[in-house]
Amino acid sequence: MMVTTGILKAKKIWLFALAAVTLLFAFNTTSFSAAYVQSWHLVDSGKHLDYDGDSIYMSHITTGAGIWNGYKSGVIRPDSIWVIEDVYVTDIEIANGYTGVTYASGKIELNVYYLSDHSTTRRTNTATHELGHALGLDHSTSTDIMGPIQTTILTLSQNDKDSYDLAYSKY
Amino acid sequence: MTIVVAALIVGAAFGFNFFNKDTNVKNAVSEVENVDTSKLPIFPIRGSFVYDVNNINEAVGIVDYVFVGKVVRNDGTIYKGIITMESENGPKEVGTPYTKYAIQVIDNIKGALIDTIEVLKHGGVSQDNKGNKGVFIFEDDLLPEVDKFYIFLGYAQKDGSIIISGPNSNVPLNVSDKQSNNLTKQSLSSLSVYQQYQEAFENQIISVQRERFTSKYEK
Repeated sequence: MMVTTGILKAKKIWLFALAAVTLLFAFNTTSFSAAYVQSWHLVDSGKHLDYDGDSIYMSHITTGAGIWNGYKSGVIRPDSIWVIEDVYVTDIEIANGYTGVTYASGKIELNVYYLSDHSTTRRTNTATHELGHALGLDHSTSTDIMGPIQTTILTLSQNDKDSYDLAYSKY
Repeated sequence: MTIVVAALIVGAAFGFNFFNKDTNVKNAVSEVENVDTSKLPIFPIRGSFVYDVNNINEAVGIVDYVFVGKVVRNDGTIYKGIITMESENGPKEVGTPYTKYAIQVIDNIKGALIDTIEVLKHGGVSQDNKGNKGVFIFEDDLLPEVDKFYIFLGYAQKDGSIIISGPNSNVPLNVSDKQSNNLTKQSLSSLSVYQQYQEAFENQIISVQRERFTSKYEK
């Protein structure tokens, strides 16, 4: 009889733990990630973002394109003679508090004033972040590539992915 | 013969596109007159910052000047870094808008500027040669209005000019008509926003080490 009671107690504890883990998992996936989308994007009607530019940081743009394309393949492409460019990447050298900026007109500016002293990782973070704006993603949290302040993050977070999913649904 | 004709067609297509692709050249600055922006759509500028734009101590720390000023004049929009981009309707010129203002400096909180200066505010009427205009401005930012008072946060540039740029880079001051005729450091001290920026200067955080320049408007 005591053995049976012990087994029942153990089962109850196990079921309680399972329920707690399930609840925790559900909480994490529903409450800790979110989608952040801005009011404009630069993606064309064929659901492509074709980029060109004369920036000295074009290799970082290429790397950034690879990071986004790793989640949704083939959306960001280098410009070619067969398509119309959607975004043009160029450099500025201005003291203004930002490393890169994206305009609804189709221009991305990368700021040599700050980036010249930054590591490759930080430059790539900025390039990837600005491509995110061109894709229509808004600023999110500090642990995301789309956080408002430059970081060393080069991996898409769940927020980045959810934001991209929502932005993509609006193209 | 067919091969020659095909080669000519392909060659012409490549040549045409080559010339089209070679048009992304930065030109000189262009300029337009002051226009009414109140009915234009707003397209927020998005960027990656080097400081926490929501931290007033960092915002004061990163700039070269913090001052109270009255907007005397709006001298229109200039466009920098103009490039020519492809579009479905042909080539279009794309420049970055900066709005020119003449400012009467009432009080210097950080730095020391002379009484009358000119600044460039990052943002303004977009350049669009297809007739579709809008206002480019950072999130949490606004274009200053003539005859109004603001606390400006400015960056000195290599050429001696001052650029006002970024979220909350000109913060409105609620000044009554009676006060506006005789604003002094003492009367400004009664304004909570002014007090905030004074305290932020005293506790400024310089989170970014950078080469700093001197404005041609310094005393």
